[in-house]
Amino acid sequence: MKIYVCVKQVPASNETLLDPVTHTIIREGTQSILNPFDAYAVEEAVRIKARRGGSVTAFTMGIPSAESTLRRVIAVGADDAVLLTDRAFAGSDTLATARTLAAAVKQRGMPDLLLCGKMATDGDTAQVGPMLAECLGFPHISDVAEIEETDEEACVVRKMTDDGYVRLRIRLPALLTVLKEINIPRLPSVSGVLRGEQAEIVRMTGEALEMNADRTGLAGSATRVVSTERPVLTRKTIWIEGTPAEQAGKLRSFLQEGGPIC
Amino acid sequence: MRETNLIRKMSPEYADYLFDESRTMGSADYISFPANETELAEVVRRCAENRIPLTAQGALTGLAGGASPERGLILNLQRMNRILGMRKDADGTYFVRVQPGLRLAQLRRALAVKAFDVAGWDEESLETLKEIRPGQLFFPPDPTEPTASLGGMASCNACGARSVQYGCTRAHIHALRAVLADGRITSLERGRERAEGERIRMPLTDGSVLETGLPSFETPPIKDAGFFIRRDMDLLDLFIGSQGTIGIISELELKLMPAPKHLWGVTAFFPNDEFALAYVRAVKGRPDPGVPRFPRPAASIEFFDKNALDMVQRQKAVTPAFRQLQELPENYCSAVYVELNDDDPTEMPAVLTGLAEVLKATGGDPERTWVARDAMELEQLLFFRHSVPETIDLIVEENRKHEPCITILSTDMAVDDEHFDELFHIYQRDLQASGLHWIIFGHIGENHVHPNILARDRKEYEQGHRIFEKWAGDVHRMGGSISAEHGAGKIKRHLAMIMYGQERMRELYALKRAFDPQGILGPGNIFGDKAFQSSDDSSAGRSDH
Repeated sequence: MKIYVCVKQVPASNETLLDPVTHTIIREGTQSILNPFDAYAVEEAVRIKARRGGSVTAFTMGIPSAESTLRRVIAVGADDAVLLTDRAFAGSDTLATARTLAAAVKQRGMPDLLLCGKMATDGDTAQVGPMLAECLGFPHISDVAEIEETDEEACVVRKMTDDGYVRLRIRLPALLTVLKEINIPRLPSVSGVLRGEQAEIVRMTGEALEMNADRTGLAGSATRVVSTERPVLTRKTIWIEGTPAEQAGKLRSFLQEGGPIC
Repeated sequence: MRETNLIRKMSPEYADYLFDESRTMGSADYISFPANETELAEVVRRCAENRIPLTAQGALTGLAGGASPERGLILNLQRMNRILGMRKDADGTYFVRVQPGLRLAQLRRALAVKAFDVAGWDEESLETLKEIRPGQLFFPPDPTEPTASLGGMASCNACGARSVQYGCTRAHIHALRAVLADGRITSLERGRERAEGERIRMPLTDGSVLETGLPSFETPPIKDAGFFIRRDMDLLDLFIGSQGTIGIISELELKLMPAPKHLWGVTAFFPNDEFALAYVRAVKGRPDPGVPRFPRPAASIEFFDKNALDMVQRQKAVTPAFRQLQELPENYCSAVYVELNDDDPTEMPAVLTGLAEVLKATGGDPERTWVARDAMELEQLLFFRHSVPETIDLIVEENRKHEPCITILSTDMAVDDEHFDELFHIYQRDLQASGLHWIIFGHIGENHVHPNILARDRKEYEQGHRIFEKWAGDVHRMGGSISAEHGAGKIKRHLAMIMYGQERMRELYALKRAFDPQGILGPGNIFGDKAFQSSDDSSAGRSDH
């Protein structure tokens, strides 16, 4: 089974720096990690490969240093990895990102199954996975909590909805975005880390993907971020100390004096 | 004793203060929560006037019952939890002054994010604070339980995983203040107030001097259980490890170190314990013939036997918090965790290549390992490490429902490198023959793993104690220590008697009574055995035991 996983490098902290001009995230200079949701997609891909054989290829679009994230993905069991990096990709919104990833996927050969994390922790849009499926003409299911069965033809999955879970069957090739409850991502082994360090990471530019400049990057984006601002934190924590009886007394006074629940 | 705002009579609402994490149930008549040294001294003075015994408590995370009261007053120091200031000496070393109730996690966080409550800080402290960056400094002792109080850690000289590289809590205490049994206070600094041979002349803050002598012997060099005794010793060392039996620590000045730039770790699984022991020898720089040298000195080395791994695996199915624990590789037997630090993260692949060679030569497999390359991944390995004592807690709590006499039965005996394998095999042989439910895990880097017996009834609990007593004899014969880090407290005080013998225990007790003539401090800690107490005194303290 040929499995592709799309991953993203995100800032380690949610104290993200925003470019005041373009309103996009400043990535240079902050510590970066693999998007936590993507770790579950990678783990699921590696588990399916262990059961059914085949290969796992990871894709990311990002700055050259995103290579380190791909090495981490190889360390936990992906076979190879593709880095889409080009100045022309800079400033891509979700649609431009999905188009660029789709172009790379087509060029590497269509997979049987494409997995993505539910969303990235920096943008929080959860759009790239479904958009990528549309660009490729794949059916997709988002918010997958469990892949119950997989064969050459189809997958049976459990999807989380607002009202509970639904069990769905999807014909392959298909794209799934996965939730954190799907598995526990493994830590790499010593051999895995060394494999990751030694691996050849394939690099692709806009030219290699034969993409027109108006299909990717800021120019190819259908949306514009007009302004961004940091939310003002209004919540305050008050610590009540003392013995249980003292704490209860202080809490009562606080509530009586016009605390939040009068 | 008259009840005041500071000293209250015990009531059911304070029931949680009658036991520590070992589940040693105590009893008490009074409880006090002083907020500063003046109040602390006032409480001790009142107790002395009324001949009321008192037991100091930090965060109640101890595993030997040291903070469980034996009647009298509970002196709970949780409100004394402030960081009082900091300074830098001429060598560029930073020091931080803390109250004893401050928790390790609070200190770590303050240093990591540079968030300090500076109310009342002097000019020097404020100036020093301006110089430091978040995460620049750290306090190395790591006794696994981050909610432990610094006073508690000093009181039992906690060691933990990282003492292989950094030493125990004692090595990081530069100065302290302590309240003596009559409420007087002493302020001691390492290198400043020392014994003259065996003579002690300890200056007190009121200008008086406490004069006495040290015991005629020195405590073992392999870790110190309870008292630390050396000729010409720094006097502050008397208060570290002695579990509140000669004074109550009211302030600590801790020596800080530059934080390692890149902390990472590897857990390796082995198909049998002998392979794991061979790997540990290599990590410790004593590789067997044919085994390559380990590429780096380790900051900590931790061992888990199959029973410990199985136990956590079972608990994972029922405890939601454990769901995120890593899945164990197939056919595991034992595991060894090694923590490393580097100034340069790019060196990691070269270190891992060397580590893989050591693994192959000792029967391990580089594929059957977990590598944590950064702080976030390391958190997962430490979470796994911490899940072992957490699971023991849950099981002991469950077993206590049927038999309230059960406590945690954990040992922390230590021997030197030469004797460790012999001791380890004695543990295994005795435990396998016992038919009890047991696990072995812990600080193998400094030869003090923790065999734990999970007694299910009174008979098993008593059998466990008998096995510990037998080991105390074995360890004594090997020149080791019966408690490397938890302190003798109440659960292991009878082991102290086996290790030191009656005569030496009498000498230690005489030292205690020189500081505490009425015998009111830390009743039942270290000196629990009635045999030696009948020797030399007739004061009210005796009735407390």
